[in-house]
Formats: sequence, structure tokens, C-alpha cells
Amino acid sequence: MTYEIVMGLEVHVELDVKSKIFCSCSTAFGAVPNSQVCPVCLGLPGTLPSLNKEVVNKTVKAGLVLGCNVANRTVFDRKNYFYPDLPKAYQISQLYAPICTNGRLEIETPEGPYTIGIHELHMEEDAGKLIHQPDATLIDYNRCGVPLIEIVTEPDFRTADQVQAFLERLREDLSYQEISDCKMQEGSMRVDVNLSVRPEGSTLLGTRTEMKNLSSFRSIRRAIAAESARQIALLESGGTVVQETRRFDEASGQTFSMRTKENAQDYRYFPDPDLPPVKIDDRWIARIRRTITESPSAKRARYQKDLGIPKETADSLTYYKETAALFENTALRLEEDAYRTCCGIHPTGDAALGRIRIAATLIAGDVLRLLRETATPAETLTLSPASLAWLSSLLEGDRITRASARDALEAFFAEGTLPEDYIRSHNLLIEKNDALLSEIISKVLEEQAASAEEYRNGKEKVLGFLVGQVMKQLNGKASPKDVNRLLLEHLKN
Amino acid sequence: MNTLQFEQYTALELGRLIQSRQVSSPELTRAFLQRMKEGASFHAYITETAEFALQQAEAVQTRLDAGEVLSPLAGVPAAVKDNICTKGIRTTAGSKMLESFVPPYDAAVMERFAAAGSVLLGKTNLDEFAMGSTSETSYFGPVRNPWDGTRSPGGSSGGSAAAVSGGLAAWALGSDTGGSVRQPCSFCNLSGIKPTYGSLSRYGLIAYASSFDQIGTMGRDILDAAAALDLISEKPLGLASVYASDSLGNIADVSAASASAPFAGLRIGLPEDWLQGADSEVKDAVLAAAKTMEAAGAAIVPLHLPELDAAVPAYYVIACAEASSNLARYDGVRYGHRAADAKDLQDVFVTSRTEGFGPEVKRRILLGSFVLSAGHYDAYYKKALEARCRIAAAFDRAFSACDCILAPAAPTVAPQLTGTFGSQNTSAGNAASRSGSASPQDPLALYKADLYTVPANLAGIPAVSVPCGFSAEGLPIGLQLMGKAWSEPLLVRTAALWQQLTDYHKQRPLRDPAQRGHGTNAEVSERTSAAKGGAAK
Amino acid sequence: MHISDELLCYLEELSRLSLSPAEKEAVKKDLSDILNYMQQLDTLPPEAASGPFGSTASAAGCNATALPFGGLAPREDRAAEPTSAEDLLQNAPDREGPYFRVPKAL
Repeated sequence: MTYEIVMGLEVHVELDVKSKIFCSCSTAFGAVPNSQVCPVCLGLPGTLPSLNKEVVNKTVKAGLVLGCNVANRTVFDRKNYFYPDLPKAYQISQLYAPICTNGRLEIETPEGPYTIGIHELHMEEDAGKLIHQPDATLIDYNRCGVPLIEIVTEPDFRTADQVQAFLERLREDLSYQEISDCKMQEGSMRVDVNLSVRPEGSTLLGTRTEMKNLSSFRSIRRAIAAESARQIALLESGGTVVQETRRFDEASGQTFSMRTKENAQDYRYFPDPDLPPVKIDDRWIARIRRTITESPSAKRARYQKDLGIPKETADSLTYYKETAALFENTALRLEEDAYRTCCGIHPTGDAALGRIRIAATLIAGDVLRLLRETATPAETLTLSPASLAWLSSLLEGDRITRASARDALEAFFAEGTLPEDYIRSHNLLIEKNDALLSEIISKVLEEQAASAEEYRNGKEKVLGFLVGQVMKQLNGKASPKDVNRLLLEHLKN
Repeated sequence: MNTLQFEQYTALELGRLIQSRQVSSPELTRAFLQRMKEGASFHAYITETAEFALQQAEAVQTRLDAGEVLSPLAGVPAAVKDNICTKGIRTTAGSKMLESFVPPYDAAVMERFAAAGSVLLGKTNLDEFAMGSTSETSYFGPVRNPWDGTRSPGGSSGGSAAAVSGGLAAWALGSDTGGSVRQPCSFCNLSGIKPTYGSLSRYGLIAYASSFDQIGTMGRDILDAAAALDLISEKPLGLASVYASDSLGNIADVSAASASAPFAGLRIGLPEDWLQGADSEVKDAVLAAAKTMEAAGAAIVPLHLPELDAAVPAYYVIACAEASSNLARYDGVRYGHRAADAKDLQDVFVTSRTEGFGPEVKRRILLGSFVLSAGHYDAYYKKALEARCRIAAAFDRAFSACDCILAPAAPTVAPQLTGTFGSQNTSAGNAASRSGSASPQDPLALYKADLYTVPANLAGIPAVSVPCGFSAEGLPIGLQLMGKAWSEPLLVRTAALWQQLTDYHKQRPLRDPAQRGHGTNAEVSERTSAAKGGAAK
Repeated sequence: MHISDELLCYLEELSRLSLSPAEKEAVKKDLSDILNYMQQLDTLPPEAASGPFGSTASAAGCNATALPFGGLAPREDRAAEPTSAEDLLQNAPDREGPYFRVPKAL
């Protein structure tokens, strides 16, 4: 029998705010253990929470980006359970009246666009971190109280590809809107997968299992493969799936039962009497809506349509908010330059468009590669639009070679040398001097008379060799385009 | 000043004596510290802060001498209930769980307390985590009522009540979750205010039931309680015009009414059928008070409030639910008691909590876990919230017909100490023998005795408790006035007018603990007959 | 409401408390009496309700006057200096360097 996999996700995303959700401790990642705690987030007797308004702003923004209904009134609930990473022995979360509901996110699949329903989105606080040692467990509460949003999807996923496409799209949208940096490796995006299987064609949902805290695309894909195979094998052998939480073990590539529903915890949710209901009027929502900037998918479409940039390049440019911003600011500069030089007649003249496309290939190619190779976080990228505009203009005018541009960018990533300084100090600017070029070409053609003759007799491959010889004489400081043009002229004569 | 008699003065009078340089704050503080030694048998304090008090007294005296204008209570020594966090000073909430807990922060009210130049004598005894109404559930042992050492001062702010009543502090802070300020005031002949829920920051008040918890003040008369409330309030409640008059006992400037009918224009609601739940002595005293007020010009408005029958069950469902969650943080991990020989993590949780909490706290946690648990939430918790709304709505209706509601603060006078209560007896056998015996203080009976105080907490409205008579045994009886949210000025003014007409609040228990017995001594009998002789002066 | 042994065990587990056999008997009776008494709540006829007491009553939906909320007001997103870790660790029953310490959590 053929089976269909049905999945829903619960995605926890850490909000990009300066202070914790209920106290003013910093949310910065990687501080000394227990150095970012206070009586409130440590749950000391008598302390009270005070809601960080920016958490509401960013959550509403996330809800709007995901097409949700935003509640005009939302309430925090306590989820009660004992665990050493949870100082109050309850997590402040939302159950009865979540802030955002009923949204959607469209993803691209090989079969075309596909919509994933968003059931709800709610605010909650993160817990601390346990460090397990052979004889004891140590606790660091720095993460405790860091604001999270939990995004709960409908069970709309059928393949691991869809899951990955959704998460990539989510990461992109949330990081663009400065809601979260969604870094799985730092734990600022964590994924639970609810998975069930059913015979192809069935419309009933099978019994699901939940796999918690998957922290990379690789683990997610492996966990989905392992768990769906387990469930199918179980059904094939006449067994039944038990509703339970399962842990994916990276080492064995298998999932293991953690707890079944029978001994599931009774969380005794109830409205938190320490926190007032949050009232969000329509004007507040409208104000947040105005802060939403162009989405990455809209950017991609615009780059392709207005600037004639190929889809793959547009995809790369928008991979990070920072690279897209670098590209757009570079393009703006190039347009302004064109405007100035053309006295305002052709603001986006062909020259500017050509330079913009060159800038696009520099960012989509070299800059992204170098970010990856040097493990530089995109948000720390300091390359200026001015430098890129300068490089692009020179490339377009054949004043430097592609290789020089690449070397300049590499030097920037390696040592922070400004590309302008690199090109000048390495004397890489090409002199535009046809007379000098002609002189050298004549000399080369004399020395290589045999090859020139071969070319004239129709062996066009020889041209490359001749160009190389000329470039060699010029130590590479010539535009291959100019060399080509003049060489052809000489050969015709 | 004769330090032997200073406890006869009200806190405001002592404040004036300090302002007029008739006594210095350090002198007064030393006198109170001496009195605390004499009254040690009341067991009013868990932690005494003598050294700190003298430092504070010196500091405030320096400020006053430099001409700084401070609160009318500046330099007057006071006591604070030990569920209010004090930075660097152990704060136990009356529990073994927090026996050695030293908060690294002050409660918001303590910041105000210090800024106003108050002097902290110590932290007062209370029912464990404020769960109780006799101050017998304290891990540190029961408190004795200065009016009769064999009786409870009430609770849970029993230590604060005993301290003020016994002259061991000029005024005190308490907390009132279900009557814990008003009922001990009634049992100890004091005046107390439970202000509107949320009117004071409860940051630093160790939570019992968050949606009811409210800090309140206790004094020798209503003016002291009002001045104290003003002192710890961030936003003025409009009480200063009532207590800050120049001559003692003169509040004519706050009353628009004529001298012959000071209550004229005031509509006092009297829910007479509700009063049937009180002992006859208490009921009679309250009805007599109504008559006195009527004679002084008040209009008595009969009220029928059947919704209040649901008050005690609704209160205990919600309070226990919140308590079960609020007290879950005491798990032996970050602070508080940890079982010495816990073998694993679950053992740290279970054994620390089992050892650290007394029987009443455990009972309420179990009850709270039950009413919130899967399958019972709707039948208990949600229903209690509905009842709470109904009660609040009933008060809304009542306050369209009257300005305030008159009721007892407690259905009885101070009860006898049972001698078997208290979580000091943490061994299973003791707890079981207490719970299992036919003790008159079975928990349900104690819960039911909160009938007059919990409605104000359910509705979040302010209420005051002031003395209104004595029982045949010479034990104090208090009346309660409830008003709508933010009506503290009206309640305080009404209570102050009442105290102008009467002198119950001027009565003090016998000073020498050796003479304190079962209320049979001559002085108490005298007071009783004085009270019987009529309320009006 | 009858409190069975199983139910009491469940409540003890939820509450992380452990009662002795003698205590259990007493508590079963107390809880049972109290819960029976609480069923008085059923005698209040239902009435349309919506509003006060912050979040607590909103679950019930209530019509009475909105009352002040007893907690802290919301705040702006500003990070303040943290409390000294030493101050916070001083009450810890067990610690190791800057960490709180417990027996191994499985």
C-alpha cells in the first residue's frame, strides 16, 4: 500500500528585542552563565512580571506577515509543570486567547505555489539551559524569560521538501522584518514536527507523534524519514501508532519514545493573574502594519521584472536581508550617478542598468561566497554600497578585470582593505589607450605571424591564444574586450 | 516624655511629638525595642531588627533636624508582616521553606517606607504564606492575642496585630488576601484598611493568591491606618485631609456635616440577612453601631445580597488555584529549603516541598491542583470566576443605592488557641493527629468564618475595620465598612466620624503580660460595661 | 466529591508533595468536605457576564465594573543592568561556580 505523510509544525522563534519579555534583563546570546538574570526571571518570591511592549509589537508584526487575524484582546496563561530550567514552575504562555490566529504562508514547490495554513501564533517565555554532567546537572538561567513566539501550522505538509521550503521562507520573512534572526544553530528557531501517515487517498488523519526540538534542516529531514518509515512499517505489520512524544537520536538516526499521552502532563493552564489582558486596538495594528517592509519574495519578483536579473541571482541576492539591502543601496547609488551624468534625462539609463546587473552578480557570487567561506554573519557585513558601485562601474567600463574585482573583495573580507584602496595600491586600473594597445598588438602579430595566418585561414580558435599573448605583454592590465576589438581590426587588415 | 506610657499614643501623636522635638526617633525606637522584650511572649515578631531600627532612627532624626519635611509618621517605629520582602533582612513568610531566605531586593512599599523616614522594628509573625486566619499555621509558632494570651490575635496578619495592640510597634503593615488585615484588627481592637485591589504595588509581597493579595495598614485608630497607607502609596489616595489636622482627634475640617448630625447625607447599606451568620454579640454590636450612625444622621439602606452566599467557596477555589501555582516555585533549586538527603531530582522537588510546607499550605496546594486539573477546571475554577463576577456585579448594584456597606469584620471574637496547630509540628504523626482529631478548628469551619471579609477581596473593593464594642468576656469586636473601588477617602472619613462618636478604639489591653488571663480581670470587665453603657460618648 | 486514593496520589504527584499514610486519610476527608462545600457554586443561577479583574475574570466573562489591575504596567524594551549573580546565588541551596546545581536531571 502507498502511504501519504501528513505533518504539522510547531516552530519556536526567539524575538529580536533588547530585553526579556517580563523583565529588563538583556537577551544577548552567549553571556557568562547566570549573568543576565534578576529576581523576576529567576522567580524569586514576591516578584512580578512587567510585559515588554515591543514583544507585542513584534508578535503582531509576525502575525500580519503571516496573514493572521490579530486579536483585539489577548491573555497570558500559566502552563504549570516542574522542571529545574523553569524557575517559577510555570511557563507564561497563551492557550485560551492567543494573539494571532488563522493565517497562511505560501511556499514555492516544483509543482507550483502551495499554501500552508497557520493555526495560531502566540507569545511565551523561554526556559533556562541545563548542562548535564556525569554526577549533577548545572543550570544557567540566562535564556530564561527570552521572548518566543510559537507558530503552530495546520497539518498541511506532505513532504520534507515542503517543510524545508516553509521554514526557509519563514526564516526569510521574519528576519527581513527584524522580528527574529531565526538562527537554528543558536537555537533562535526550533522546530517540533507532528507526523502521521495514512493510506494514499484517505481523508482521515492517522494517529500522530511529535518530535521535539529539531535544530537543523538535516535533522528535520532525517527525523521525518525515520519516523514516517517507522509508522508505515508498524501499520504494515498490523500494529497501531501510539500518540506520544518521540525524540530523534542523531547518532542512530532513529526516533525513540519519550512519553505517551496517557502519562502526558496535566499542565493546569489558567489565566495568569499577574498580567493584564493586552488590548490591541485597530490603530495600534495599523501602526505596526505600516512598519512592514517589502517581503523578500516581492523583492525577487521586482528584481527580475524591473532589472532583468535572472531568478537564481535574485534568489541569492535576497537570501539575507543585509545582502538585499546592499544590492538596493548600490543600485540606488548607480542610478544617482547615472542621473547626474545624464543630466536627469535617463535616470535609469542603460549604463546604470548594466552596472546594476554587474553589482548583482558581484553580490550573488563573490559576496555571498565570501560570507560563507569566512563564516561572517550577514548582519556584521560592512561592505559599503559606494565600494560596490565603484567596482561595478569600473567593471562595466572595462577599467578593471573580473579577476581584479574578485581579488579586491577577497582582500576586503580577509583584511578589511577597502576595495578602492586595493585596486589602486595594486595598480589594477586599466589604462584606456588604443594607441599603446595597437602598438603592442602589431608587435605580437609580427612575432606570431604563423598564428595570425592560421586565423586568417579560418582557424578562429587561434584568437584566444593571440589575446593571451597581448595580455601577457600588458601584465593583465588591459580590458579583454578592447584587446579583442583591436586584435580583430588588426587581423582584418 | 514618659516612655512607660508611649504606647498609649497613636502613631500620629508620636509623629507630632517627634516633629515638635519632645522626643527623638532614636529615643522612641529604644523604648519600643524595650517593650518588644517585655512582650516577647506574644510571639509577634519572627525577626527583630533592633540594630537596623536604631540606624534608621538616627538617619531620620538627622534628616528632620536638617529641616527636611517628611511624612507625619517620620521616625515612628513600625512593624512589617514577614511576607513583605526586605532587602538584606530575612523574609520567611512564616514558613520553614523560607526559614533562611534573604531577599536581594525590597518590596515596592518598603522603598516608600524608607523614603518616608519610617523605622522598621522587625518582621511580624503570620500564618504560613498568609494561609490561615489564626496565625497558628506559622512554622515559627502561634501568636498570642494581647487582650487574652490564651486566644489567637486572628490572622494571617496576627503578628502585626499583636505588635500594634500590645504596644510593640506604633503601626504595622499587613496583607489582606481574604481578610488578613481586617479580621485581626477586629480581634485586637485595632483599625485597619484593605485598600482597593491594585492601589498599592504588591511587588515584593510574597504571593499567596495574586488576584486578591493586597497590602494593608493597621493602626491604633483609623487615622493612623490612613496616614500609614498614604505613606506607602505611590499615588496619593486623598486621605491626607482626613488625618493631617492640627489638633488631636479633630476631623471637623473633613466633615461637611453639622456637629449634631455628622453622618447626615451618608447612605449606609445594611445587609441584615447576611448578618445572621455572626455570633449574637457581634451582630448586636454591629446593629447597635448602625443605630448610632442613624442617630447621627446617616440613612440606613436595607440590602439583600444573596450572591454573597457563594463568596467563601468562590474565594477558596480561586485562592487555592492561584496558590498551587504561586507556590510551585519553591522546589529547592534556587532558594529556600532543600531536603538534605535528596537522592535525585524528583526527590529534591518532592522531599523539599514535603518538608518545607506545613499542613495547611499542603492542603491548599492539593485543593488548587485539583480545581485546575483536567476534567475539573470548568466545574470548579471557571464556576468560581463566574461567581466572582456575580458578586462584583452585586456590589456594583448595591453601591448605586448606598455609599458604603456596614458588616462585621468577623463572625466571632478572637478564638482560643488550639495549641496543636502550627507547621512546627512537621512530623506526620502530629499533623495527622491534628487533622484527624475532632478539633474545633477543622479547616472547613475556619474557611467559613471568612464570610465577611472575602467578598471585598473577590470584588477588589476597599474596606476598613474599626472597633465597635466588646464581648461579655471583654474581647474586642470590630465593624467593617466596604465601599466601591477608590472610595478610601469616604471610608476613612466615615470611620473617623465613627471614632469621634465612640471610644472603643481608645481602649488598650492590660500592659503587664502577667495580668493577662481569660478576660476576667477588673479592667476588662470595666471596659465591657463601658461599652455596654452605649457607644455614644 | 469523593477523593479516592488514586486521585489523592495524582494530586500529590501534580503538587510534588508526598503525604504519610496517616496524613492521607485526614487530607482525603478534608478535601472531600471542602469540595462538597464548594459545590454551593452550582446553586448560583447562570447569568450573562464580561470584564474586570484583569485576566482572571476574563476567562469567565464578566459584566461588573472594570477594576484596577494589581500587577505591574507594561514597559518599554530597554535592557537594564542585571542583578549581581552573586546576590542571586547567595540563597542557592547548592551551586557550582556561576551555576545552580541539582542532582542529575534525566
